[in-house]
Amino acid sequence: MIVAVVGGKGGVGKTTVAYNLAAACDGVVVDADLGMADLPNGDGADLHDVLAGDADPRACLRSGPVTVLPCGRTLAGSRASDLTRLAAALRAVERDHGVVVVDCPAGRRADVGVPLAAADRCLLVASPRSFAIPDAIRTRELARELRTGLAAIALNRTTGSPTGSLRTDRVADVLGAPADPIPETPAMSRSVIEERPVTTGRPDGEAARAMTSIAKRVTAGPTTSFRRLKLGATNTPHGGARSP
Amino acid sequence: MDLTWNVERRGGLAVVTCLLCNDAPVDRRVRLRNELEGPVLPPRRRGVPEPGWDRDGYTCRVDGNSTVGVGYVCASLTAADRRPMTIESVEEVGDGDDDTAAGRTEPDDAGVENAVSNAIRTLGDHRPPRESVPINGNGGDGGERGSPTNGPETANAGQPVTERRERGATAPGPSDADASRETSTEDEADAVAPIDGKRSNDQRQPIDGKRSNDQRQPIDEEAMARIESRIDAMDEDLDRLRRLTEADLETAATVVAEAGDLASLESDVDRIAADVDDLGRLRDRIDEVIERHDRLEVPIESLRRIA
Repeated sequence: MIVAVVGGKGGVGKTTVAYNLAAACDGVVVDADLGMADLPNGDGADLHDVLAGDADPRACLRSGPVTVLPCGRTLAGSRASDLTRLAAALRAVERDHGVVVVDCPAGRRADVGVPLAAADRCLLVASPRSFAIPDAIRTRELARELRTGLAAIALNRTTGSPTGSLRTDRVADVLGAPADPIPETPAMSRSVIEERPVTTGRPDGEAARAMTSIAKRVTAGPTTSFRRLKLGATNTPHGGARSP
Repeated sequence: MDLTWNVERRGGLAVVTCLLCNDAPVDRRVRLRNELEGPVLPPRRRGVPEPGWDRDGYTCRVDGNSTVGVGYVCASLTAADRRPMTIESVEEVGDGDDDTAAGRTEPDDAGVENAVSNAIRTLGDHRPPRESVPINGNGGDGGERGSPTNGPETANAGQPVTERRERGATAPGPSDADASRETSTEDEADAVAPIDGKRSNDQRQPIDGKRSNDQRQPIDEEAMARIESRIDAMDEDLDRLRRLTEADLETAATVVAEAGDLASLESDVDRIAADVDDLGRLRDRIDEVIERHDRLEVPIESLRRIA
């Protein structure tokens, strides 16, 4: 199963959620932020090389508490990346590892659209602050146009109830999918840098429980999208999020 | 169903434009087959062919009593007056039918590929602008890919496929680095790529065959003289060809005899057209550089005061 982790705005915590989701699903996390990668990387080949046709994605996996397919940091690598190679690369990793979580960049460009199109479903990461909601809605619309089901919403960094923050059930209503709040905890914030996912570091903590719940929602139901089974996607935007 | 067409030859390519006119009051689906030799180079957006195109032709829907324009490029060497496309099949379509070209021409199990192509075509390009990418990897980009090298050739060899392809597609010019940043759209570059790759091997490097390793050297007199003499030669070529256009039979025969035979005259015409194309690209690039220079104000005086 390929899960795209999206969210219109930068800085809402997509990477942290993607990393911890991969841990909770025992999957691989792919850093698909071709221009501003921030998952841990190494010295070897990375996603830039894969998308340039110079490396096998399975040979680029970096083992650790969570297996990562890292992404290069260079502009040249980003520029040379051919997105038409991404779907096949994700599928190759999926065949070996089952669940592939794709950390997508912010925005609505092709580097978000292609992983979304290649994914079986997506997880939308949103900030509970009301100013972040329009971007979340736009991203949900993009997923709809590309006919990728929205499995769940991760409402990230809900600590206390700061002024201007929205209730989780309200966000779920607006975006049309089940939402889980993820509290802002030091363990969650440091999980990527320290490479210690919350579900293994502090499995009883609030953040770990939230990630487990999200992982359940995301992996529930049939593992392959309808589109990959049979339906041909067309140019016609096709409405309706498919919650599993 | 009525098909009218026009073929224009530009730099060794056949540029085909067709009008497909459906004079019936019902919507029809039409399959057009390319009749020219050589591969179809379909129109592209961000490097991805438009829906409906494949290796052999194009399939589209034409509404009742309406006309659709179709255009593509073919790397064909066949004569220009040959019919470029024929109508292979026409069928009526009902309202309930899928009316997108992609849905018709590609199989259902290609759903993901369809969706990916669609996303690349319709969404914004993710890539950083070419100007922001250091050519030789010494521009503070970390350099794991464009690591410092000694010249454009080695830098190219170290570049991944896409970038290499784009560089291959750019016009030959006095400075490889500048030419690679030319302003033509990506789509054009894609469409021209296979031809240019071949072209760079032949002898028709009109401007400056020797590519300088150091792109910062001032333009040397010798290179300028070569460019000028090449343009002068083209002037003479054009004079010769003009004699053909206004001439009586005798003059025409003389011009043909000078060229050798009709075939070599024809190849001269093609070669000159290609040279003109190359010069046009160079002119665009020069215009751009001049414009950039004119907009630029270097605060030399302020710098001198600070120093």
